[in-house]
This record gives sequence, structure tokens and C-alpha cells, in this order.
Amino acid sequence: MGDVTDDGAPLRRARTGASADDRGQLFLVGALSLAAAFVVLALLLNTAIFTENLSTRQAGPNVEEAVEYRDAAATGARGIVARVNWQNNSTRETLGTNFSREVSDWSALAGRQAALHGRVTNVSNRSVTFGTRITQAAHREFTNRSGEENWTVAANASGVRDFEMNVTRDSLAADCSPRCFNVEVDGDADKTWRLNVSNDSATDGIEVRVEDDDGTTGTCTVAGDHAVIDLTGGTVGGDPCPSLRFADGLEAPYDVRYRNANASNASGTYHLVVDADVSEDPHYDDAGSPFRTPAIYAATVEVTYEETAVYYRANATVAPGDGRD
Amino acid sequence: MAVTERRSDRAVSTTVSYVTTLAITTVLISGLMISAGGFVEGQRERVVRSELDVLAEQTAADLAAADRLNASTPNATIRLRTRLPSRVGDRPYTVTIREVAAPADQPNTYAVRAHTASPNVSVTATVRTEGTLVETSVSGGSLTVVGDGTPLEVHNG
Repeated sequence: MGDVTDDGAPLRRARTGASADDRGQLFLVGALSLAAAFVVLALLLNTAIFTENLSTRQAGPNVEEAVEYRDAAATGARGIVARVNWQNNSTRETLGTNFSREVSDWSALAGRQAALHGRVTNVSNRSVTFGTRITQAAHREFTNRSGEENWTVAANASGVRDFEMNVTRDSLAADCSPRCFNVEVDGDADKTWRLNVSNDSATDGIEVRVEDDDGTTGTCTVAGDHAVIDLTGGTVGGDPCPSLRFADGLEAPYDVRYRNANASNASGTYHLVVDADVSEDPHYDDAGSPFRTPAIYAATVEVTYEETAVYYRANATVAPGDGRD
Repeated sequence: MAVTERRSDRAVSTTVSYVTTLAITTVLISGLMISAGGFVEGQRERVVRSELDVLAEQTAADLAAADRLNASTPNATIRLRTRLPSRVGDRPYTVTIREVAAPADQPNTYAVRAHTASPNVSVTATVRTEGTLVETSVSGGSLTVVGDGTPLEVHNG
């Protein structure tokens, strides 16, 4: 605190022994301390503002994009499996090479798109399991090339996929007693699963009756002149058939057989993929008969996704018939 | 020339007044400083608690996101990085993850505890996960959740 005048200064100086420069130290120290407190308070206020900002940010890294990319890659790979199985299937080597190349092409295209959003992605072929695709593409009875009505479509398969048949109602037996067309699957320990297909004249439809090894039976019926029966997908005429659970209760290896497959019991088309070698004789590969080709039974691709805060690498296994609409 | 009478109590009132003023000023300023200091400390604790709360929730959300990613694909390699402040209210802090006993047939439950030693503040958030997490304690700052077909673990960096 400065003096108002200098008149009394010498006297006061004499009394107190202090110089004018010493005056107001207490206030000064107090003011400085308060100033420091206010500065700290301002910093705390800043921290509080930052906290509010932090709390309103998106919680957690954006992992959904990684999962979406993995699913997109799996869908792409599934399409590639279907394509090479149908169109580039002369040998297993050809299948493998074409699959790898097409996956690589897909990866490059998707990677360019991802780069626009600051992401690095990659898909590569990790492993391929080969099998055999058995197809009857032309409409005919379900006999083998020699016309045998009871025959083994595939033996010793540890897996069956994408098993779909399109049967014509007029060709089916009216009743399974005494006999009608059926698909019989023999599993391990002599267990048997059977699917009978007959003409249901009462509804002008096709009846599918499933017999499990334990004696459980279930029936699904679909109206129409023909029906697509997806044995592994569990649908009849596109509708879910709860009883149709392929080889339910059986364990691998499986033998898939056709019974009563002549023209008066079944005709149409079918295809399936098994993870086993199927020899040509005596069933396949004559003109007009079912044929077999090497096929990819399953494929695993490695998917890598990377962005600022997320690194994700996972395998996706795809197979023929998976995710069919 | 007038003779000035000298008395021994001359100027006493001035000195007393001065000392009294000084004392009162000291008391006032001290009171002001103490209350300001207390106010600042109180605010610091509130701010620290508030931010630890946010950080614990953020870390729990990161763990939940990593767990979802891990659960969606078995044996996936995952690195999720989160940038968090290394100090809270100018104080370092730690993040501790501990398993909490969950009822049978319920998901695993973990407590994410953010803690500062001074002021002594702890805030705990809970996260339920499909998979397991490694119990750990890391210092505050940027965190990375790591999984490689193994239980998820939180690291610094």
C-alpha cells in the first residue's frame, strides 16, 4: 500500500523501521496465492470440459466395420467357391489355382474401396478341402448310368453338402407301400436315416417323409408339379421342413444311396458335394447320366482388417450351399 | 518557542492500530487462502472423479467391443487401441481389471476400476463379457486390448 503523501514517511519509517517498499507484502502474497488458486481452478475447469468432450465421443473402437468386412469377404469367397465348382472344375489343381486367384482379385478390389476410407484390408486363400460334386443336370430318372435303381451315390463320405434335388410329381409313386423313391444314408454303427418321396394325390402335391434311425418320422408336403428338396438346407419347395434334418442321429462316415430310383418312382435333377473321392465306375459320366467333377468342399480364407484403432485378423470358412437365400 | 511535553504513551494508539490492522488482514487473507485452497481441492476431486468415471466407462466399452469381436470369430487376432489421457486433473491414474463373481449361467463379469492416489478417488465400471479377460493393472494412458485366440488382455500403448 503506497503512501498518499510523503510528508509523514520519515516519521513512520522511524517508528516502524520499515521502508515504503515493504508495505503491502501480505496483500501481495495473498493475491498471488489466490491467483495461483484461480489458475488451478481454470485448469480443472479445462479438465472438466475435456471430460465432457470425452464422454460424448463414440464408446469403443468401431469394431462393427471389421465384422462387416469379414462377412462381406466370406460372402464373396462363398460365391467364388460356387463359381469355380461349376465352371473351373477340371482338376483339383485348377480349382485351387482359380479359387486363390479370384480371392486375390476380390481382395484387391475391396482393398481399393477400403483405402478410400483409410482402411487396409486383405483376403487370402488359407486352405482348401477338396471333394466331389455329383450332378444330374438333365431331367431323367434317378438311376445310375447303367440304369440301376438301387445304387450308392457316394460311399465313405465324412461330410455331405449342398444336397438338393428337384423332383417331378408325376414320376413319383403314389404311395410308399410297397415302394417309393428314397434317399438312404447309412452312418457309422449301422444307423440309417431315410427320406421317402411320394406323390400326394390328396393335395396334388409332393410328400416328403423322413425316418430317423430311432423310428421318429416326420412329413412335409408341398403342392405343385415339382418340388425342390434341399436335404442339407432342410427345406421343401422353399419352405422350412422341421423334420428334415439330414442324417440326424448319424455319425460319419456316410454312405448315400438311392433306392427305387427308376422312372416310375423318381425323376428330375439333383446335385450334392461330398468330401470324398468318388470313382467313375460304375455309376457316372456317360452321356445323359449323372456325372461327377472335382469340387471345393470347403475353403478357408484369412481376412485382415486394419484401421487407426482396430487390427483384426480372422479366418472364415465357406462351403458350397452355405447362406443360400 | 513552545515546550513540548513528552509522554511515554505517545503514538501507542497508532502502533496498536497498525498491529490490529495487520492481524485482521492476516486472518482475512489466511482465511481466504485456506478456503480457496479447500475449494480448489474439492473441485479437483470432483473433476477427477468425473473424469475417472468417463475413463472407466470408456475402458469397459472397449473391452466389451473387443469381446464382441472375439466372440464373433474364434481364434481371431485382435488389437484394439484406445487413446485416453495419461493424467486426470494433472494426476496419474491406474486402471485395474478384476473378475467379479457372477451367478452361474450368467456372462463373465469384470470390474474396471480407475484410481488416483492423490486425491484418493476410485471409480468402478462393470462389463459383462462372453469370453474371459486377463486380470491386470495398467497405468493410465493409451490402452490396447489384445487377443490372439487367447483371453483378452489390456496393455499400455
